[in-house]
Amino acid sequence: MELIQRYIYSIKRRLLSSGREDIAKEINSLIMDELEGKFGSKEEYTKEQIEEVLLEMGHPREVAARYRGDKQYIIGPDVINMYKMVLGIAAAGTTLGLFISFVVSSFGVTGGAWEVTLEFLKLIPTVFSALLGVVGGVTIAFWLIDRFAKFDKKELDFNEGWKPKDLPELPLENERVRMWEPIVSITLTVIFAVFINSYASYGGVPFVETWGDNITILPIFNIVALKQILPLWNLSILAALILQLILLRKGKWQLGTRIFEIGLSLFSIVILVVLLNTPILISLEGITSLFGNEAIFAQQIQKYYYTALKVIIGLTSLGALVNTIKLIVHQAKKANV
Amino acid sequence: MTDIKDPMDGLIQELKRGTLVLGVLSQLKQPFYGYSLVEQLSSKGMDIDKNTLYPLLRRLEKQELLVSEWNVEESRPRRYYKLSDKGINVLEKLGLEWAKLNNVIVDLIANSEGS
Repeated sequence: MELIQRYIYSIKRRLLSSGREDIAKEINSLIMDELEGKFGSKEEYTKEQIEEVLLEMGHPREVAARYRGDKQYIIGPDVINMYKMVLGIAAAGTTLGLFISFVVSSFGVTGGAWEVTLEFLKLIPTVFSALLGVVGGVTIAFWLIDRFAKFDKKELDFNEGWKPKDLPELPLENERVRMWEPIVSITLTVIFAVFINSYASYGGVPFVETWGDNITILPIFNIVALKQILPLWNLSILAALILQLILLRKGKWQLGTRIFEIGLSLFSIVILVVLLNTPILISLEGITSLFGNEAIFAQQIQKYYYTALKVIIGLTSLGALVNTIKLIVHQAKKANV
Repeated sequence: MTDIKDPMDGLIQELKRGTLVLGVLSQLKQPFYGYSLVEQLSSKGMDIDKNTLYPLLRRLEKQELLVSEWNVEESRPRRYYKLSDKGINVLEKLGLEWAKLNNVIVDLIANSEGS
């Protein structure tokens, strides 16, 4: 009889917790009925008899699957194709981003091919763990989209009575999003995110000005300033990725995505203002070493940097303003139609 | 000559699958436990895979077409299933649908060469 208990246990661990005990009890009762039907009512059955009945019932995996009924999945059929595509883009983008980091950092390695090979070997576990993170992150994002984002669900729910008039309208030319646009944006954003984060976590990727006898290692970013801005930057990257995913899914700009875009621009302005009030992001140390001790030049760079930031703030604000006006005009026109 | 045995097996299985629920519901005006229901259906010429029937009973109960209770008065506890009020109603409607469908199919086959 221990064999029966082991069989039931194997089924139970594959079942959802709700109703598990009840199903186990029922399967036990069914096995006993089978034994009784086949070999008559007895106190004990032989191992061979029990095995015969269990083999007829089927592998615990199959039995559990039959009792579970509906297919269990994390990513539903509605979004599975997009999930696979985004996963591919994100994985490729991450690998490329890390590879670029590697190429840049390998400039700083002094030594021969062996050292570079060693650095390259170190890249493999980094890429592996980053890819695990990407798979996890994308899966969680899509699980959330599948469970909670209701967009277009109605349109895909075949059980609901649908009317042809409910079919989404063809997007206007200025509302249309071409497939490659969000894909390129997502890829570039992922590469940028990986580069910037790996730069910060490795404590700065050095950059070499010259090769040969006179090797000078120049850091690109001021690591303290970069780490200060990174959480905000990551947040805006995440928001930008969400926006691109929605655009990819919808295939057109809508009121929600337009507002989202304006919100994203406002958030970028916040980040730029924060940058304005933090130390310069570019490494002055690098610039000074590049141009010797010409501190004045570094000061000039610092001056231009903050002026450039102000110009970008101005342009982004102007862009957000134009987008807002366009949106209001567009909505007003729509309301009048 | 093409071997029609393989597609036949699949087609017959498909045909039977469609009638499974109706067959099961038709017998559950009185309570049966899983194994006894298999015997009952088999004795009336409907051979059903036990592994399909047992989970099906639970699904029908979930759809509120059946009600069940554990009987502990016998030598071993057994779960008995029988039709709920909703199940009785559904059986009646399904029976009518089946009769209509049967007439149509019989007619289609009988006149398959006439048209």
